[in-house]
Amino acid sequence: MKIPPVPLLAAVLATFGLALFAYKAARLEFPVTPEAQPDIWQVEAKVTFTATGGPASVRVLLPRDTAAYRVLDQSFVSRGFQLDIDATPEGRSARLSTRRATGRQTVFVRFLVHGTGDKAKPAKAAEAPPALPPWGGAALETAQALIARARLQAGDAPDALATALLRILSASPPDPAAADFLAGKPTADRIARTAADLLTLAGVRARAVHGIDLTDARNPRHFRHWIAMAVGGRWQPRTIDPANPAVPETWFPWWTGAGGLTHLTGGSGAQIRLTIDRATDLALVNTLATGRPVSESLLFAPLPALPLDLQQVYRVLMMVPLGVLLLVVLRNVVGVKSFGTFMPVLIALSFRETQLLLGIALFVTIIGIGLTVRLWMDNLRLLVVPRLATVLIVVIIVMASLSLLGSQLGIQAGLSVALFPTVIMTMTVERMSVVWDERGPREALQQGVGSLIVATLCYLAIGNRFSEHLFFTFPELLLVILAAVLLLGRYSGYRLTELIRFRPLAGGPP
Amino acid sequence: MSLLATYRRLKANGVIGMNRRNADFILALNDRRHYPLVDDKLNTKRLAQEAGIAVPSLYGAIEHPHQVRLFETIVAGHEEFVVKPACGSGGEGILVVAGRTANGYRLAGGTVVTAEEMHFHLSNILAGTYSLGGQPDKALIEYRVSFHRVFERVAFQGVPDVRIIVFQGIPVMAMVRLPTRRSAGKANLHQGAVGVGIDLATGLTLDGVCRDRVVTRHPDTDVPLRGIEIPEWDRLMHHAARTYSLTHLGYQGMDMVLDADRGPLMLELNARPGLSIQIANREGLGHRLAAAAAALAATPDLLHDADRRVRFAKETFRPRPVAGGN
Repeated sequence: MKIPPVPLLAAVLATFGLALFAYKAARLEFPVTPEAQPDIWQVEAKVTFTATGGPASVRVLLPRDTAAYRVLDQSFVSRGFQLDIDATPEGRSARLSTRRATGRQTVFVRFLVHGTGDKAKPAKAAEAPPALPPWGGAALETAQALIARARLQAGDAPDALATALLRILSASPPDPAAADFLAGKPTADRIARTAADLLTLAGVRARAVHGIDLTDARNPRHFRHWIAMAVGGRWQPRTIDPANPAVPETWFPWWTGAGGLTHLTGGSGAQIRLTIDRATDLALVNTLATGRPVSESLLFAPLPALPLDLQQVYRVLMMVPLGVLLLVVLRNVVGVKSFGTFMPVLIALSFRETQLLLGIALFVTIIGIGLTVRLWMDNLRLLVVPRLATVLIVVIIVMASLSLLGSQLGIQAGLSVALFPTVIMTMTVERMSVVWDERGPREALQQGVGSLIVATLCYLAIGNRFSEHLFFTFPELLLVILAAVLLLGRYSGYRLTELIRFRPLAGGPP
Repeated sequence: MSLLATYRRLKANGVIGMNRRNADFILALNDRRHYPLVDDKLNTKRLAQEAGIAVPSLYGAIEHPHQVRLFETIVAGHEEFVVKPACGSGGEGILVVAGRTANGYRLAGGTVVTAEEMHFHLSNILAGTYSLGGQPDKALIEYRVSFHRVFERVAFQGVPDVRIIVFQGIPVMAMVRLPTRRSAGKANLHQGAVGVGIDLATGLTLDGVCRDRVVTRHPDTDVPLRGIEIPEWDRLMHHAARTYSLTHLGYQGMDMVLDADRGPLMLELNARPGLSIQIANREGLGHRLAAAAAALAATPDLLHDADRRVRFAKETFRPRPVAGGN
């Protein structure tokens, strides 16, 4: 087979990539900038449990539309499980059951939530007898005493009463009377349930509400818990924070009542892992809304069709080529010297988590300590592989210490030091020490700073929301990058630094 | 001068940059499967000897960790010798032993190395400390070159060597590399040694380059660099021309030393020779390489006759008169 010339190959790749990009952006109206993102969230609950061997079933409560949010496209992924949708007193639920299951089982529940832009309006509270908590004897007496205390402070108005009760329940140190109901652990979930029960007992119909916070944040997420009181025929929501009762508009209610999200039979150890992500892809949502076949959107928007946790991996992975392109330019066109071929790109990826300045500080600290130890280790005369292993262990100890220090000082970002690629850091320390020995500290520091500059530039290119959105929504742009890298692979002109290096040879003709 | 103007001038002067060297010469002319011939100095030594090119004689090679204790046996009877990694690059890991002491060895620089330290150094070489990519390596123990008197006043401590760039068997450019105090006696330019251009026709030295800057005097001894006559220049040129048939690498650098007693000895061949030689000769390699390529295309016979290749080089590649514009 004849090998096509590089420019032709690059032209074909770039044309295809750009054409698909243009078609998607212009005709399918995929948003090019992240600002154009619709208020749509992909929610995924991954339920895992250990089946005992017989028939097993998991019931998962399903969310309902609210005034502010609409639930689109529910889906359930579970191998070998049969799906039934039941109506239960707590609302609709999905029952996934199987005749026989052993060992670890995984069930995914996914749905899209679309913010309609309407103001949140409390749902109508249908007339119904209050569901009194199943307390008797001593528990009932303690509860009555608690309510009496709250009434004494706040009177009979539902809001004031709720505030007073919540203040007692969330007091620190825990109120001895409340401790019985909270079972020693004042979690948000328990406080919400207990407050709802106490309010109901006090004659104010109330229920616990469990939901999720639809904001950009790091996954996995936790459930939010609040309460709703039937006041004036509507369920008035409020948080369990006595000082700050307004429920944020981003909180989306999933289920209500005293039960959990899932109900498991024929298994044990159920765990729920929750991921919430902003859907970047308007077209996918539109196709779902208009009932167009999903296969078409799969063709044009393949990545948003992946499970959410995989999507997050690709969100990061799709950025790597851009960083690599920049690296190629800096090394082969500019002529910057850096340690390791791809080290700066990997460091730039960890800067995404640590933020730039803190990232640089952590990087310099780890490399600095590692290098000091490594240079001192020369006295020990270790052979190559054990020496590398020693440096690796030292690097990990330094990282663990920094994380520990960060958590003690309450600096959240200190923890993210763990995301630095340890092996890459080790090799950087080793190479830097070799250069230090052979060409002097000056050269070593020069290359170290060079690497850091490349890493910073890479971070600036790949660490922003715009490029992340662009490459995740338009993965075909990778073909354009590939084309650029191929062309750079045939660049045989001078590097910028060579213009300075060879300046003595730039004289006029003799 | 603006960067763009510099770019154009460099191009017009035929200066070869790193990218061009890699793409058009190393990738195009050097077949990867021939690399082991030059990357392992033991192989190069054997090849050269078979072709009748003199090399520093090998006292012994240590290939496995358990052989390290044979070191004393190997060096028994040799007062002076050199220990070097077979796959080392850039002059790293080389120890030049100039004599013995009560419990060890005295290096050329004056430091004393105990027998235990020497064994540790050998183990490090075997473990791949100095080899490309950290591959396990061999340690060579060989004859210590006592360099020619001609370099006495322009070399600081170590051994000066002559580098000739050979394109398809045609020597195209040459320089002599002089150790300095800064390079700690090593003849590698990136370590601070001085490179001095050589007129291929006469074997007379031109100006030098140190740390990518033009110099006319040795930085340590202050002796003028120009006009030194390299002894046995013709033999050096012939050796260079013949290396092509040894390795089949179309673009390589040959490093030779001049021994006071044994004459020119080949140290190693290099598949990725550096570009500073252009500064040392104050001339780009590009025009010479183009002329050589044109001559080979016009008279393919040139490929088969080393003598004619040397004659062609001497007639064609004259040093550029020194131009201004620095």
